Amino acid sequence: MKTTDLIKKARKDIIKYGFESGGFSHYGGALSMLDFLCVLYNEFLKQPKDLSATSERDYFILSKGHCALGLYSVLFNKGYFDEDYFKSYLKNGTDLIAHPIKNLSKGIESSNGSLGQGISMATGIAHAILKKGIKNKVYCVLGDGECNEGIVYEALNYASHYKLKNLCVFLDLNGLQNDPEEYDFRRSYKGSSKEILDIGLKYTNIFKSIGWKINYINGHDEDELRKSLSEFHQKDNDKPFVIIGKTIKGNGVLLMENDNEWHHNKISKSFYEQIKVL
Amino acid sequence: MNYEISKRQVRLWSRIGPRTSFGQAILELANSDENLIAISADLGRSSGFGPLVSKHPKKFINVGISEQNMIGVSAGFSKLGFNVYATSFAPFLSYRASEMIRMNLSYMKIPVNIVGLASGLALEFLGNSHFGLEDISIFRTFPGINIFSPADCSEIFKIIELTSKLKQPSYIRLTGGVNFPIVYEEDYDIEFGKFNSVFSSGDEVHIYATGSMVYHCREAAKLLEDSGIFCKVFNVHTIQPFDSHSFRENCSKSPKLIVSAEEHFVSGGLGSLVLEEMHSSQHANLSLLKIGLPNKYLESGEYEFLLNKYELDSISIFNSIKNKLHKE
Repeated sequence: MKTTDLIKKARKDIIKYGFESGGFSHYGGALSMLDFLCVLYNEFLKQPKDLSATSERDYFILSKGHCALGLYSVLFNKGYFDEDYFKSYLKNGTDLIAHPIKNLSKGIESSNGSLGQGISMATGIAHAILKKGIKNKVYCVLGDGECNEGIVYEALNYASHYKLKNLCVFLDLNGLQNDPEEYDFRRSYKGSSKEILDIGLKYTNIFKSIGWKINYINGHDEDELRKSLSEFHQKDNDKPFVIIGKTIKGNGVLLMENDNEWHHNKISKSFYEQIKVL
Repeated sequence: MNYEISKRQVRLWSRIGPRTSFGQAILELANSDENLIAISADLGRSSGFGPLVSKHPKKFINVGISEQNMIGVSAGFSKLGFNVYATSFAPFLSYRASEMIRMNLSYMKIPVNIVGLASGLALEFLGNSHFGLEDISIFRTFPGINIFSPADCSEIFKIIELTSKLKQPSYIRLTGGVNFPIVYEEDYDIEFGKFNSVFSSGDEVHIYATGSMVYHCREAAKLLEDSGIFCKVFNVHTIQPFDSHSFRENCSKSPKLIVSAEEHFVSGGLGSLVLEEMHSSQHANLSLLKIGLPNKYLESGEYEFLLNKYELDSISIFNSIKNKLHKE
């Protein structure tokens, strides 16, 4: 399947399987990282469908674990598990819950949900790969709210210090987290263009100062994502790499875009009927 | 604090559940206490702080998703005389911010009230990373930190009022979800460091329950009474310091069975505490049944499904007690 089509299909499936589960999902954050995930899984990630087959392969860690529905949709569409398994999402006693549960035979690398811990493990995997002398890569999606956690900086420092050039992070800069703007110590993208610039600059500066290579792009532009991931693969890259993607929480579903009510919510039947998925 | 425990009010609170009730209680406190500061690690919404933020925006601080820093910040505010309530989900306080709690609240004895939201299984499909399975156990290891667990939504108000006057380092463990069952329909006296009797038909079985389990144990006790087994049910709203004196007095009545019940691992929490108390009060010869969650990571699902699966509903508790008695 072409990446453009995978993005559209995976996005539709987030809404479809999310709605059909009858439960609450973190739709906003699943949709904001989806383009990156699709380009990665469709064109760059080198791993067998059964991850337990070998440890000498590429790795993907969803550090912002609550966006699991986005990961499940991509795994399903890339053949890591079948429709029956996807339909068990949010059923009593299921393994497919709101946060990923490590299951190598189903393409899920680690159990996440406690923010900041995924990037920490990712740096360990990347370093171990270098020590083994193999050529594999490690990819990790980090949330911007997640960057409130101190452990993130412990991991970023470590990666820079040990020159983990095989580590690529996608920072999903959608400008929102759980609490709404009026509770928040930091504004969302609904504000002025100066605020947007401020948040992007802040993270660009942080990562750069800590010693990472930066690409600051439109997180929903397939070509820019592809170009960045290709740059990460270049032989002369000698630093850990971050793609800072300016994204829209709820991207691609018009009624959800930039509406923090969709951080964690349930799709009603009437909403499902109104929804237009791009 | 201005609140009233009445039949009508408790029904409303039960419907909205413990977190929204907690938010209401903090609002009531904020109305009269100029030194109140409510702090959350990006879970202000999940703490029911909407009304507080509307009415007293300066009395809320969101530290962002930074639980460890929240403890340091809370301690700093407390040193300047603020009355602090800091919230996050139970495991992120008990585990992630554990060492900061140890240094600031326990070692330095700085008075801060930390509130473990949605402990036990309340977070359903968010899974084990978010379940409060071990928090009582962890807080028991900190010298000098009080542990409270309200049995219903009205008791949340009483515990907030109590802690606001107590001004000691305290952990308040909230369990249950919307339609949280009602234990108290009218006002009653709550005493720090004591437990409360909520049912009494006799002294064959003494049940020590905490939080969400108080209601289910009381229902089980009614069923046991119908079966000719007579019990007392105690609401352990203050887990630490535990009322060893009253416990010893109760044991001197030689119940056939002591039962502990908690929505928490069966090892390390209230059950282990009761076992320790039996030994230290020279009543180790009595029989103990610990009701709680098995010491392992659990399935995810709807709250009622999980309570049933792990035998924490009233009927399962009734059966467990009956079976234990018949075996002895």
